[in-house]
Amino acid sequence: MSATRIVTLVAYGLALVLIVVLEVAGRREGSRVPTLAQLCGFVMRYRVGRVPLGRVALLGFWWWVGFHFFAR
Amino acid sequence: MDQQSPVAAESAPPRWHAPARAVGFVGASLAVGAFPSFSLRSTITMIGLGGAFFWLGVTRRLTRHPAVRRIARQALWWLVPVLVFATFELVSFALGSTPAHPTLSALADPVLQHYWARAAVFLGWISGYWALVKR
Repeated sequence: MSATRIVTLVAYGLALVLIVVLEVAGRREGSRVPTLAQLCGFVMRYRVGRVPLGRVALLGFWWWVGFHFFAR
Repeated sequence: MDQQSPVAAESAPPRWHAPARAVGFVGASLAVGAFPSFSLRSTITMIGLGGAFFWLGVTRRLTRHPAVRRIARQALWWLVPVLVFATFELVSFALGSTPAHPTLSALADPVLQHYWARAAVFLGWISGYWALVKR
């Protein structure tokens, strides 16, 4: 296994661990770190005029993720 | 003893919704787990199901969780994992997604060839999509 592959795998793993850490931190009593759900809810409120841009962007992104992994 | 207010009781979904939804999601996952990539079945499923959820999420047909009106500056911590992942993903993609520089898709493909893994990941995807729809 090449060194670059190991570094890349470690980086992906680190990102996953950080997500778990932030989620756990966000769920603690009195935490000022938002949970992932709260963050998504905040982003989804973003509008440009009458267009719910944040909502369309997140829902569209998740749709693309599913299509990419299951149908491509 | 807790009592729901009349408004909450009126807006609360029937009790059978959650278990029915869980059964539906698990059933869909068990079915989609058998659909191979690049197949017509998986393409139609992802377009149809994804489109239906997208439409449900954009329209106001479902009750949503209360809006999050503001978040603290500590939300910026979420940029750290996003940037770590995005940096390595984009560099790997730019370098051609080789075994030495694998993208997440390249790592996931061999895993998703197994039925149970595919069904489990699909269950996570559809549950996450529903959570976004209700936000």
